[in-house]
Amino acid sequence: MDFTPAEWDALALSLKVAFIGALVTLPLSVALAWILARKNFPGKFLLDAIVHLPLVLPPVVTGYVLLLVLGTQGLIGQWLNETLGIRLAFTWWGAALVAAIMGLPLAVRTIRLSFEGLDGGLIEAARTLGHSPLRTFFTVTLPLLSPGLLAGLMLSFSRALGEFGATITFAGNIPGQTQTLPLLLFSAIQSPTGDPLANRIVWLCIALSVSSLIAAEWSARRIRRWLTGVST
Amino acid sequence: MTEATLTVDIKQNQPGFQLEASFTLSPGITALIGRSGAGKTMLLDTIAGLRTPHQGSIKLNDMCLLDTEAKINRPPEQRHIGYVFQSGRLMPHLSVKGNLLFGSHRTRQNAPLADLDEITSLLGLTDLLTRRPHHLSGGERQRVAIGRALLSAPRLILMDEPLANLDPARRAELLPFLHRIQHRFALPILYVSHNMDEVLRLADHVLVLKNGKLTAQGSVSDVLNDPKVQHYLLGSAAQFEPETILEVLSEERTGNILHLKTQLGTFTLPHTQSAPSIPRLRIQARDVILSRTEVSGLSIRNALPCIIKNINPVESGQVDIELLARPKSSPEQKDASPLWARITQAAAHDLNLTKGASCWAYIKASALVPQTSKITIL
Repeated sequence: MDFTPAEWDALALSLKVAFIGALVTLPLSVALAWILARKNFPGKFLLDAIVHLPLVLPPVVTGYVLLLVLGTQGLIGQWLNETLGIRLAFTWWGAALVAAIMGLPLAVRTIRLSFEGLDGGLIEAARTLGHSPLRTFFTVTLPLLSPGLLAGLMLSFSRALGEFGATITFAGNIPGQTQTLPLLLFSAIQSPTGDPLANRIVWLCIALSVSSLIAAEWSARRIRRWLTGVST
Repeated sequence: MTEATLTVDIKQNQPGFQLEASFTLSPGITALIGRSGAGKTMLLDTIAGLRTPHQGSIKLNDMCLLDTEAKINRPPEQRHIGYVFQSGRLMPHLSVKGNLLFGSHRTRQNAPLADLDEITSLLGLTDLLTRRPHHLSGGERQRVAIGRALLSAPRLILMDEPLANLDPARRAELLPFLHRIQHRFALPILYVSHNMDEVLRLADHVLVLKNGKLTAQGSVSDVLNDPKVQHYLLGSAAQFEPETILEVLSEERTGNILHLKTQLGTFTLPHTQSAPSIPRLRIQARDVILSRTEVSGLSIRNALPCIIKNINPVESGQVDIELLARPKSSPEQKDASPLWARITQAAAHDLNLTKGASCWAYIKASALVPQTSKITIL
């Protein structure tokens, strides 16, 4: 199958946007998951609800809200643009931001489950062995959390690869800049002669998803073996 | 090296439960015993800093670990206390060696007790260093947990029933290791146990915890010879049978015969060659035979002149007789020590045994043979 440079661009952009989005989401998800799993405070349910909003809202709504807040005329967007010269709306950075936001609830949910499944006894043991809470986080918590971190990363990455509604609303559908694979597919379907292109993109998307699934499974096994010394 | 000491005086209120303990830990192994739910683990957690009591103070050597009035509460990582948990709590993502060295960074501030080589050979872990906890047996895991605590340069060791999850054979295998640790390091060890034989084998002192309160403390034989303590520890009144704990003063082996010198004379026991030394004897009341006069021509060698202090009827037509016994060779009353006998009410009546009367007690030595497989759960 021959791919045109425009299609390669869309593939590269999709990967870049999804990868950066997932990477930005990860530390934030760990922090939020830790707070939601371990802390009790008034208004916790509110934080929980806000984190989950991108999962339950129609993506177009999320994109539109982002536009209102971060668009060049938006509350924060205007300030960002005028003082720092940063423009998010209708740029690939904006697409990455959308990817991060849409992936966040999935990553938080997964990592939170890992936190809740963590054996608190091991953390106590580490403390009695002279490890401060911060040191314990890096020597015990993070290593034991790594399968959950990987799962969270993969979920938000996959979610970002397929993201459409919020991206087209906030970042637009600009070839070479914000036109990811789903957006290119959308354009192809709109065009009367786009069927062969659409077909190729569909195959590309299937190949991409299958290979990321395989990669996820493979790394999950590696991590489990590293964690316990048991090969499964 | 000066002997380390731990002083504890704490109060912890919880809905439906109150923990109150005040004691000073002596060097050697102190057994903390009591029924399930008496607050033993809670007390250990409090000393380790994993729990904060509402009120009180804890001092280890010159270091104040906790003082609620002065608002001092050192976090667990600054208490220099090695804690061996009931279930080991080894890090699954680290090898045996990684686990052993997990707390050893603390040796930068504290002189280490021993190095990795000594600990691994002391605990028989040399061949396991590259293994992961998943591939260890229960006994091996506990040995790693003990080694890990020792390598963290502790000034005190807490052990929460380290042998509880092991079968009798593994227990017997681990006891000598605990003995070795006690001999090698001058560390106070606070050892939670459910097992009477373990306490008799290992401990120098005993703390008895009952419903969150410390009800008895002192040397093993003093505390465990107290009928009230025995009643509490050895379960329901229907099954309860008093026993006498005798300190072994010295031990001599000739072939398969073991001569144990105690305050009540020397007991001669049949013996297997390699069995570990026996620090205390445990005489069940039913293994003591009474007679009004000295009997000659008996196969039983241990005859003790006694005075009857008390006679307590028990269910099932028997009586428990509290005696003051002394060795035959010593007529002096100051050498006397308590001894319990259980006989039938009819026999007591026929022999005309009454309070203050004198009699002879005979102890069948073979009843004293320590059985490692026999586990008495407190």
